[in-house]
This record gives sequence, C-alpha cells and structure tokens, in this order.
Amino acid sequence: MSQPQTIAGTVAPHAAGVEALFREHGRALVAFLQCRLGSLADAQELAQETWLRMLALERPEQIDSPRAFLFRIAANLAVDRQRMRKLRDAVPLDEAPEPTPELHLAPVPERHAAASAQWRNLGEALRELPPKTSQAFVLHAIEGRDFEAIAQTMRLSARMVRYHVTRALAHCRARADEREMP
Amino acid sequence: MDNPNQQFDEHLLLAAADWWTRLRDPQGAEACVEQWLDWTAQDERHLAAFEHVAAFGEGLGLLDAVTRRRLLAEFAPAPVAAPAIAPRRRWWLTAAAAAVLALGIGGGVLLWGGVGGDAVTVATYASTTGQNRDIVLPDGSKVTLGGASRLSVRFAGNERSATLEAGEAYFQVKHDTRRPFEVTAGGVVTRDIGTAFDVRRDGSNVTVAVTEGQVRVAVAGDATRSLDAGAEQRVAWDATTRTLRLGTTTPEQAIGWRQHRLEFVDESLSVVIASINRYSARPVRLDSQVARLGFTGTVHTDEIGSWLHALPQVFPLQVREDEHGVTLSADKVPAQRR
Repeated sequence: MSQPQTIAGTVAPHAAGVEALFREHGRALVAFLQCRLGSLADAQELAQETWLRMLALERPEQIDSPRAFLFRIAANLAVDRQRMRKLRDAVPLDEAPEPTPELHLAPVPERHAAASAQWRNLGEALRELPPKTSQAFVLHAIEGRDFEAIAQTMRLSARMVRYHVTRALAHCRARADEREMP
Repeated sequence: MDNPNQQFDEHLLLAAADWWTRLRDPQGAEACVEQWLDWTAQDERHLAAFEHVAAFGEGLGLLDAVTRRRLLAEFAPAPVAAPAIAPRRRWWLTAAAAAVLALGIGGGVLLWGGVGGDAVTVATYASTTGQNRDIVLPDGSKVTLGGASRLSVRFAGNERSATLEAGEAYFQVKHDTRRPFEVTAGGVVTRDIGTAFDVRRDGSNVTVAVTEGQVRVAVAGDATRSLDAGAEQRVAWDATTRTLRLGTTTPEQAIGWRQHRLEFVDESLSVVIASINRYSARPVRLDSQVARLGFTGTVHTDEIGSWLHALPQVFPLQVREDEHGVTLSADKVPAQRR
C-alpha cells in the first residue's frame, strides 16, 4: 500500500509507529466510522482527523495499546459529529410536512424513480421477514432510532432489537446482492 | 473497498451484520471494537463483508423522505403492535361464540355414550425431573414434555384436548380443521388447528410461545378475552393481575430446552428458577426480595450448578447451599432459616 500523503513528511517522533498503525488499521478505521456515522464521506474525513490527532500526541509512549487508543479517538469524534448533526439537522421525519395522499397515486417524479425502485426491492425483501424483524429494522436503519428507544416502543429488550436488526440487515443485503448478479 | 462483484455467503453476511449492529450500539463497550478488529484480522473477507454491509446501511440512511415514510408506514406503523391485534380480536369474538356452542354440543353428546362409535381416549403422561420425554398422541400430534411435567389428554369425537397440569410441553399439532386442538394450562386455553407451539407453566403463570402457524390464547371461562399469536410471538398470562400480554420470541428461546438449553429474555428470576427446578437435581429456593430481578441469558440444564454460582457476579444476591438444596437471597441481608 502506498504511503498516505497526510502522514508522509511529518516529523513527530512516533510517526513511524503511527504509520504502521495506519497500514494495519487504516481501512478498518474508515469502516468503523462509516458504520457509526452512516456516511463514507464523513467517515473518511473523521479518519483523517483521527490520524492527525494520533500524530499530535504529546506523550505517545504512555499509551498502552495504540490500537485501542486510535479507535477511542475515532469513537469520540463520531459521537461529537452525531451530536452536531442532531442540532443542525433538518426537521425530523415525523415533523416534516405530511405528503398529500394523491402523491402515492400520482406518477412518480423523475428524480424519485431510482429511489422508488430501491424501495420496492427493499419492501419485497422486508416482507419476507417476520413483522417484528422488519419493524425493528425499519425503525433503526430508516428512522434512525437507537436500540434502546426501539426496545421501549416494541416492548423488547435492546438485545432482542439488535438481534432483529441484524437478521433483517443480512437478509436485505443478500437479496440486493442477488439482484445485482447477472 | 467494497467490490460489487464480490459475493458473500449468508453466514458471513450475518456475521458482518452482527458486528454492524454491535458497533452502532452506543452502550457497546470498547472491548467490542477490540473483538471486531480481531475478527477482521482473521480473514481478509471479513472486513470486505463488513464494508459491504456498512455501504448498504449507508444507502438506507440516504433514502428520500417519501420512500422513508412509505417504509415506515408499512413496516412500523404507530402505535406499534396495537392495530395488528385489535381487528383479529373483534373477528374472534363472533368465532368464539360459535366455538363455545360447538364444544357444548360435543360435550353433551359424549355424555350420551360417544360419537359414531369413536373410542374415547383419556391418558396422562408425566416426566421426571431433569428428563424430557417425547410422546405421539392418538391423532399423530407430537408432544415433547419438559422436565418434571405432567400432561393429560382426552380425545373423543370432535374433541382434541390436553391439560398441562405442571411444567412445560411443546406441541406439534397434526392438522385437522374439523377438530381444533385445545391445551388448557392454568387460567388459559390455547386453541389451534395445526401448528407448533410451546406451553409453559410456572405456578399459575402461563407462557404460550408459537414457533409455527397461529394460535388463540383465551382466558379460561371467558372466551371474549383472547389474543392471537403467530410464529415467533408469545402470550404471557399473569395469574395475579389476570392479564394476557403479547410479546415476541424466537424458536431458540421457545424450545431451546429440547436441546438442554433454557433461554430467557427479560424474565423475572422467579420464573427462571421455576423452570430450572424442573431440571435441577437439587431444589433451588428463591427469596422473595430477589424474585423480581430480570434475567436475560441462557442456562444449560447440565450446568445448573455453575450457573447458580456465577449469579452473584450479575445480581446483588448470595447463594447458600445446605443438605436441602440451594437458596438465593438478597445480598447483605442475613439469610433466614426456615
């Protein structure tokens, strides 16, 4: 793998160590942040920020596990980013203006065509699952509610909610894969 | 990076999805990240599968508002669960009236000496502590009895009825629309025409968990109070408050006991211990102060001793053993002698 631009040329004493860490965990760090943030672009940006903070450490030798420390920084940055988003975000879904009922019957506008096909496919995959499984999944992955909140609504334990979301995610992903195959 | 041409098998996708949800859990400990990193290091396909799943998760978050609203309306309508129960229940009211009438006639005919020469079969089956038992009923339906359980059955004419007098039983009912299968347990009657479900008694509380098909669980003597439960749903009867409550379950939780695994989700310790006592060589007693603690997890029926000894690590209780058995009591409170 080629040397990353941002790290090459720095003169911090532990730069070599950070570089090794980057080679080993750079990709996992982005994947981790993408999972937390639901956005690859944000994940890449925060990964950069994470590496810069690693390089800027004053006493790197005091860190027991650089790997754990790296992901701790990333997790904290992700939490900050999510808090910022919540403040700044547009109106939540349930407060957005109701669409008129005719909208469902009217021809779908051009720009919604792709999303609409996606919706049909996703709907088909979700219909193959037990109702609780698709419900928990939609509440988490589409509405963005956390497991604890869903657990209260559905009167399940958070562990059960996570179980349902996991099953639905794997199932819908597999169905989408099948369609993409020639 | 995510390569669209790469195919991942179901097993790997499930593992990746499991990590995806674990890492997104804000309660998730740092240890979880460590375990995930170890997993990604095991096989290069692991991280690729994870990225594949994460990319899909991102796509879901980017759906437009109209699409999101449609999905929510179809799969997560508010208020949750209530609309699914209410219409069926109203439908059941009329069905129940008819059913009660039909059973009334059936019973009456039996008193006069049987229907069309059909023999009346009455039998009682029992299992000992720690032993499950498989039974085939006269109609071909299969029953697995849990440990320390007792079931009596009565087959006659249009009647297929069973009474769970103690313990737990899993029913795989032979389909017969003309002869509904009824299981009475404590204060509730579970009725179906061909499906598989588990009935468990803990004292007078009853739990009915469905693994296939659909059943109706009614309050005994009051068929107007009933709930329908489908696959992966369960109905719990609280004898104290005399209420039925609908919840969810999985086959693993419902009938794990057939593989010597007792699974519980947010179950009160009193219910957990009642189940365990049907498998434990030594009786376990529970102090009322700790009876309401909620337990989630798995107990292997062949490792009950070690499970009991690990309990103080998760609950504020102490374990005391003597020649009569094991007693669980609240921590810091001197255990009472009886």
